[in-house]
Amino acid sequence: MARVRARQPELDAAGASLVVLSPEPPEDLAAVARQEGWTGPVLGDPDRQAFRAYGLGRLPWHRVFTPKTLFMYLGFMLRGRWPQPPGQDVRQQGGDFVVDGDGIVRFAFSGRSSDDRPPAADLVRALRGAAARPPAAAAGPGPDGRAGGR
Amino acid sequence: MNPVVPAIRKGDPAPDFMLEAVGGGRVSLQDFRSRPVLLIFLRHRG
Repeated sequence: MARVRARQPELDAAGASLVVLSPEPPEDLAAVARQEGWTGPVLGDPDRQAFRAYGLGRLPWHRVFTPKTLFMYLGFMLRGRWPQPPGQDVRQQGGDFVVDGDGIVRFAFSGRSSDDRPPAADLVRALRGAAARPPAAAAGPGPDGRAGGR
Repeated sequence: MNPVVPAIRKGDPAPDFMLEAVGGGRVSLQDFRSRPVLLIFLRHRG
């Protein structure tokens, strides 16, 4: 999230809305949303209906504990923090999608591992493209973003 | 439990959703029609 939050002025300039979806119930998200300074809508999807609708399932174990995440988890534990609160699904797949004003996906990214997220610059570029696209020309794929289907 | 559908691709219509928001109320993708929206699906709350 920090990678995107740092680009918030560019999102605002593109007239874009930022919506965060989490597989947690909304009541469990309020504190972290406040702490992290998430300003847009934060939605809870404990049944993972939206996750599934966007093709986001569960990662295989070998894609969860990558060298990068093991190093990060070790850092958490050395600081006395448990890396992930109990009850959360470590195998849940994440993703990022840009949708234009006509409801067409202009950028699709499904994380292939627990630490696989697109560069924020790619998201900003896709949002600018979606904002610049006149509604009549909104159908059909554009040049931005990485296609899903992985 | 619905099965996971094939991955969404660029150019596909975005699936709509209606979910509860932090702070109350329900939010749909349709609420953002006419402007671009970035959907960030977190793996967990952090």
